[in-house]
Amino acid sequence: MRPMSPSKVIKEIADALPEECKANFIIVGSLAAAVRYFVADPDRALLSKDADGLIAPNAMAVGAAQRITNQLLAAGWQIQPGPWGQAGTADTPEKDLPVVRLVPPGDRNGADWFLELLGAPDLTQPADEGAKYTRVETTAGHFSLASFRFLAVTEWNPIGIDDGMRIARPEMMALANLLHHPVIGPATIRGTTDKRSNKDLGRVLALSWLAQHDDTRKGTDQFSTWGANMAAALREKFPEEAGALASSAGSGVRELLDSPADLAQALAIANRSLLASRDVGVEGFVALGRRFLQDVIGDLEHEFAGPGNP
Amino acid sequence: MRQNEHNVDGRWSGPSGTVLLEVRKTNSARDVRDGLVGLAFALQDESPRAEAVCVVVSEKLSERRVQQELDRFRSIAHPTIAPRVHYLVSDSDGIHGEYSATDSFYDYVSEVVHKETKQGVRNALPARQAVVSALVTDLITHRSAPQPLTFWQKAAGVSYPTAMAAVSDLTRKGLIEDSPERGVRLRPLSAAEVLELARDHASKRQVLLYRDPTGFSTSTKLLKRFNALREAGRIDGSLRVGGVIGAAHYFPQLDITSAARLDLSTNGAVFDVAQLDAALVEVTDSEPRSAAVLAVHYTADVLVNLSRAFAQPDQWASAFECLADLVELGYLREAHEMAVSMINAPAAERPAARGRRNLT
Repeated sequence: MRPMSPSKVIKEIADALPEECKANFIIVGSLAAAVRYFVADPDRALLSKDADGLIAPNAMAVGAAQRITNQLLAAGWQIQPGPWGQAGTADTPEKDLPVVRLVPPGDRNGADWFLELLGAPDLTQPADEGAKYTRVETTAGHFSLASFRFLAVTEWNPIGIDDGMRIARPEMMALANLLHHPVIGPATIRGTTDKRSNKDLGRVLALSWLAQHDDTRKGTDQFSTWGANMAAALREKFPEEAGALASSAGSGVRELLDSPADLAQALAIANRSLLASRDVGVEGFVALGRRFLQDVIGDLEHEFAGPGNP
Repeated sequence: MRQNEHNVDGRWSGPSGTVLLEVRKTNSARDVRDGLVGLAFALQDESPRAEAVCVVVSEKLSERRVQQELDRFRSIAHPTIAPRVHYLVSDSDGIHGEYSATDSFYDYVSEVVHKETKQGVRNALPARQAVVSALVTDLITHRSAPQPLTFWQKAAGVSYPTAMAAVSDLTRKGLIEDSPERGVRLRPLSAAEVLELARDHASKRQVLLYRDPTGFSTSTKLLKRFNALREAGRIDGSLRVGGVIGAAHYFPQLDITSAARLDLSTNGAVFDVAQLDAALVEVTDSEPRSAAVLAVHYTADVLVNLSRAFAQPDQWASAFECLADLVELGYLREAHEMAVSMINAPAAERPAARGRRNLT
């Protein structure tokens, strides 16, 4: 994995996207975090291979994904080679279709990142926390658009950046991870022994570190708004169950702080990605977790405390 | 940060969520009932996951009797609240009862019970030193007329013999005014003498230092949080701001541009530092004191009583505590300048006469 420059990657994607689709496109994941927090530090590169783009809203996701894929393919982008590098056909079941992963043209000095498209979830469907796959027909064949229910919160008030692009708010990416992992599950990341929960919950704390670092550098207090923003997003996206989701949002991090082995793994993963070279140790990571629970989860829970709240 | 109008004796944040604590040292079942109801009200403003425990410290009430009170309470309380209110009994057999939790929770309960049953005094300042503090505080901020010994006794919250012994000590050192008037006060002191008393005072206080392993906490952030907690009535009223920030209140010309740490003074009231910042950890003996972002000084809250006499602003530690803080921090030149300014200021220009100044 080669480090990638967040601003260069964003520029490359922005130049390639159909202009009319940018309003439906939100950068999520580590690239969004890097754009939000690394831009003032041009020498800081991101250790990641994937640039995730969420296409929203759900009603427009398939059409926009189709236009984006077709335009990028026409501009020389290629389907990422590998075991999932072959497009499906009309006969391929949706669950067996590859997701859209596109590699930019040129050798780009050996950079090996790819753009992966995700779809905004359909919240009118019954709750299901697993991935949903929707067929996308392109000029190169059939693909699927993966969507995850709790990724819906990343659609909440994305941050506008240059070239008409938008990135998800860090606290919304953290919230999506919290909701997805109310407990530390046994599932591991493919090809590793790392638990998926540890990676995602560790990322929550890594994001909180970056937010506080950014506040300290700029003299702002954005971190203090996280809990209230999370509550607002839950009320908008999950009005019927916002209170219940808020009350369980902190349980994954609490479990992480109570499990030294999982915590160590979460920190190790974070130190290989968003916190690379930041020298965050176990004690600091635990302290981050305590503060996160008190300040962010405390505020979030308080928003729904008292009678009459959903 | 959450705000809650209900004052409880403790707040535990553990893996299962928040647990509120109310300690009742009583032999009355009615007090237990009040405690349970109070916790039920407090829970209404908490997360639906939060629980509450009434810790009963009693020589006469049996666990069975407390259980009966809980059963009666639960039979009438709202079903969303009733099962979340519990009790524990603290007696010679330890802490036991209807609620079970982790060992660290019980350690916390023990600490809260200890503080509450000691009437909020934690390693209090030596009683005689409290009298010294009251006298010096008066000298540098009010310079009142000589007062009866009972005045200083009440200001320091000590017994009459202790007050008398303290004044005798000071008389032997030549620090008490030789006045024909009835009453006691310090004679005018030099700045060096005030500083020496401040140094001695600092050595007799207990101070707990806290650092932030994340590196993001600052005195400014902690002060902002402190103010919010104070305005919400969620922090004990005896906690006062001292250190560089407090000193700047009394001595605006203080030549220190920023406070490396927030200094708070307390008379020993229960204070959960996690309320200010859950990330903080105590500085150990092997760690540099300069790592601290928060210092909590356990001292004598002489201003509680002096305030009644002089309408002293109540959010600040006394000027004497602030001087002691500066000395402890190593700001000797600045402390000397402050002492000179205060002892030379005409009474009308002293901070106490200037009226209230809000915390920034």
